[in-house]
Order: sequence, then C-alpha cells, then structure tokens
Amino acid sequence: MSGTMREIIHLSSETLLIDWNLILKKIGVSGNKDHIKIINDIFRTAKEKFLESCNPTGIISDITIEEFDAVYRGEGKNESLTPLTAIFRRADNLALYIVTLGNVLSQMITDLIKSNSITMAHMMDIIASEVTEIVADSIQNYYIKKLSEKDLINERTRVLRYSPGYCGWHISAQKKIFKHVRPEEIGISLNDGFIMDPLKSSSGVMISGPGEIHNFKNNFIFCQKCETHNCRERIKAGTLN
Amino acid sequence: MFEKLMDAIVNIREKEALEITQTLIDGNENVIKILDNCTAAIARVGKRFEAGEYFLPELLMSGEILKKISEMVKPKLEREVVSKKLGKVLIGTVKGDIHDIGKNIVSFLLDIHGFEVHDIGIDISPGKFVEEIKDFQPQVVGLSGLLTLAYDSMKNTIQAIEESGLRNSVKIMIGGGQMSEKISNYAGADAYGKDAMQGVTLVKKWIGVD
Ligand code: B12
Ligand code: SF4
Repeated sequence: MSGTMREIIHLSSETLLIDWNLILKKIGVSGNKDHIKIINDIFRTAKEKFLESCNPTGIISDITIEEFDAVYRGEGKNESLTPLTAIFRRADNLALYIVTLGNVLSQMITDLIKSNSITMAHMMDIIASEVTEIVADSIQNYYIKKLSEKDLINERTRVLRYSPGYCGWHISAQKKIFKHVRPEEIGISLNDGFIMDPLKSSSGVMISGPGEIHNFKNNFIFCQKCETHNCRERIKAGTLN
Repeated sequence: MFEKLMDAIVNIREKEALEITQTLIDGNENVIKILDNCTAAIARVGKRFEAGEYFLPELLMSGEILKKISEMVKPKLEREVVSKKLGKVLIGTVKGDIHDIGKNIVSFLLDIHGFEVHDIGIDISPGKFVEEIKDFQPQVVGLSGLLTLAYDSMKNTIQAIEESGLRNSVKIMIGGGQMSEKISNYAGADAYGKDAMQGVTLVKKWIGVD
C-alpha cells in the first residue's frame, strides 16, 4: 500500500475482549478468603468505572517502507542494530498506529489518587494499561481485515506490531510517528519529553509480511538488560493469517 | 481494645476498625496512642507483604483505613501535633518517564508512616527537582523511574542537585521496575529501594526513626 489510507476507528469498550480474571491476577490476590471478597468488590466497581469512562479510539495510517525508514530513524537516537532494522525492509505492508483510552479515564485515575482511593486507582491503572494493549490488538485486527479485503495477505502473512521505547527503538521516534499520523484530531498530543497525553495511549508500527521476517534472535546488546524477553512470546503468539 | 483495633486493620476489616476508633475517641482515649497503634498495625501489614503473605491491594487497603482513622482523630489533635511529621520526603518520576503507579504507592506508604511527602509528579526535569528541593527542604529525595532511559535522567538529576550545592543536605534513594543497586551507583544515589516498603525503611533509617 502506498501511504494513502488514514482512518480513525472508534471502538466500544463493551466489544473489547478483556480477560478480567487475568487482570485481577496481575493486580495480585492473596490466598485469604475474606480479602478475596473485599478485593473482588473493589475490582467490580473499578471495572464499572473503567467501562463508563474509557473511550477507546485509534488511528491507522499506512506508510511506505521508504517513508517508514525516516520515521524509524526518528531523532537519530536508536541503537545501531535492532530487530526492526531487518524486519521493516522486508515487509509487504506497514501502517503506523496510535491508540488511546481517552482523557476522561486518565482524569478519573488522577482524581482517585488525590482523594486517597489508592486501591481503586491502582486497580483502574492496571486495567487501563492492560486494555491499552487490547485496543491496539483490535486496531491490528482491523488492519488485517483491511489488508485482506484488498487481497494483500496470504497464508504466509503475519502481522506484528512494534513500539518506540522497546527493543532499541528510541522513544523519541514518536515525534515522527505523530507528524505522520496527526492524532491531535482524536485528542492525543506528545510533549517535549516524548510523553503522550492522555497517558493511556500507545503508538507504533504494524508490519505485515511473510511470517519468517518477524523471527530474530534476542542477542542484541540491550537484550542483556531486558527483564521480560517478551519478544519470544510475541513472536510465538503473533497474529497469524 | 487497641489489640482489637490493630487486628481489624491488619486483617483489612475497615468497618470494624473505624467503629473501634470511634469508640476510643468517644471514650476520650489519647489520640496519639490510637495513631501509634495504627502505625504499628501498618508495620505488621508491611511485614506480611515482605513475607509474600499479602499482596499490593492489601497493603494499600490497610493504608486507606489508616488514612480514614487519621481523618477521624484529626479534630482532636492539637494543631501543632497534626503538623508534626517525622520528616520530609520529596518524590517524583524523573524526566522522560511517566510511570507513576509505584511512585504513588511509595508516597502513600511514606505518608501513612508519618512522613510529610511532597509528590511532584511525573516527567520532572532536573531543574524542577532542584527548585522543589529549595522550596520544600526535604531530608530525603526519592527518584522513581521504570524506563532504561531513566538511568541517565536520574544521573542528570543528581548531578543538577550536586551543582546547585544541595547534595549534602539530602539523602537520595531511587526505585522503580528496572532500577538496581548498580544503577544507584551509576546515578550517584545513596541507595536503591526494591519496593515501597524498603523505601519506607530507608527513610526511617536516614531520618533516625526506630
Ligand atoms: C503499567 C505500565 C505502563 C503504563 C503506565 C501507567 C502509569 N500510570 O504508571 C503505560 C501504559 C502508560 C505505559 C507506557 C509506556 N511504557 Co510501560 N509499563 C507498564 C508495566 C506493565 C507495569 C509497571 C508498573 O506499574 N508496575 C507496578 C508497580 C507497582 O511497580 P514499580 O513501578 O516497579 O514500583 C514498585 C517498586 O519498583 C518500588 N518503587 C517504584 N518507584 C520507586 C521510587 C523509590 C524512591 C523507591 C524507594 C521505590 C520505588 O515501589 C513500587 C511498589 O513496591 C511495565 C512492565 C513491568 N512488568 O514492569 C511496562 C514498562 C515499564 N513500560 C515500558 C515502556 C517501554 C513503555 C512506553 C515507552 C511504551 C510506548 N512506546 O508507549 C510508555 C512510556 C512512556 C514514557 N515516556 O514513560 C517498558 C520499559 C522498557 C525499558 N527497558 O525501558 C516496560 C518494562 C515494559 C516492557 N516489557 O518492555 N507503561
Ligand atoms: S529480549 Fe527484550 S529487549 Fe531484546 S528483543 Fe526481546 S523483548 Fe526486546
């Protein structure tokens, strides 16, 4: 595709595939039966407040390999070798994306902290962080649907997404992503420290191409400092078509 | 009665804890004694957390109970007693980083352990830290950060504190997901706190509380 599609996608929080039990586990529940009940009650309220206040929205904007080369280089602060350097040049199609849960939710979390409802704020924050990724998943599925409508994928195609701030791709590259995607229209801005407002937002690139282009060894210099090594999981679980 | 109050807090029975507190207040019990017992209860909760018996929500919920009790006893405390905190801690997430869940928890726990905490937020530049230290005059400064790029932000912040001549007046601790003892040395901090309770322990040690 040649850098022409730009679409705003409004999602409904009810249609997102949220694994609430998994989120509850991440929040942390001890074995004490009485406490489980109390925590479940707070969690239920946190979940209701979250669903009321979140406004999941995203933008995708396709981009050519040449254009992405400049976006990727960003402010020239990337590690010299990263997984992406090899991947994006072999892609069939690429699209930049930015998603957000909206500022009502972020404000609500801030207000809860101020009013000392810290347990609830903490739960809402974890829910929001998890759901930001789920919204990005939905946007990715939408992109796959679009590609498939245009006959741009086949049985070997695999779509995975990558974000600045991870795996050697410096966070400052967000500046060029913003310039290309122009998410101000859906109320997302970037400050001088490359921080998105609202906070519950995420940005990056979705790369579509033959499955094997997404495989790489995690032996970059920066991998030594990596605590999660979650690229392994992501490569395994990536969206296969 | 005090043992019951502590038990209710430690076992997160909020309603009961607040009722006992009300009875104690109505019975003209010494409010400082009430607060001391609550603080001891929170310390027990902290121990359970460190032992892996309790998780973060329990730590936070017990803290919320203590906050509510503090509000209940406040009117009875003499004004000067209310403002008499154990010491001052300034805390913020360093430039370029917005992760604040952990920092909020550290602030909250320090507060309920009796410290005056000034939380200056996220994405704080070295210059802003210096300005706030001059204003607030804390004994301890806490730097929080979760990104690897926060390593350099922490170093720059501590350097700015040095350059402004304030380094000897404060102890500096760092913390947050990717931080470690090594980063603490790299950045020139005094210590690394692996979790919020350790942050409290460090501040207590530096300020000379128990
Ligand atoms: C939640 C989260 C987010 C949320 C943040 C919400 C918020 N309000 O904080 C959102 C979705 C907004 C987010 C955004 C981003 N994130 Co993030 N995020 C996380 C996640 C999943 C959890 C962090 C967390 O809150 N943990 C729970 C708290 C309680 O733990 P904690 O902060 O460590 O705090 C404890 C202790 O460390 C200690 N502590 C904390 N501070 C201090 C301070 C002192 C003084 C002391 C003594 C102790 C102390 O006490 C706390 C309680 O015990 C981590 C992954 C992970 N598992 O850590 C990634 C992670 C930190 N994020 C990461 C990244 C890259 C980003 C983004 C750049 C992604 C992007 N491209 O958009 C942006 C960051 C933008 C920016 N400039 O900061 C990376 C960092 C990688 C790296 N090496 O730099 C991580 C590790 C994910 C990963 N696997 O790669 N993120
Ligand atoms: S090991 Fe960590 S830093 Fe290295 S590629 Fe995988 S996720 Fe990225």
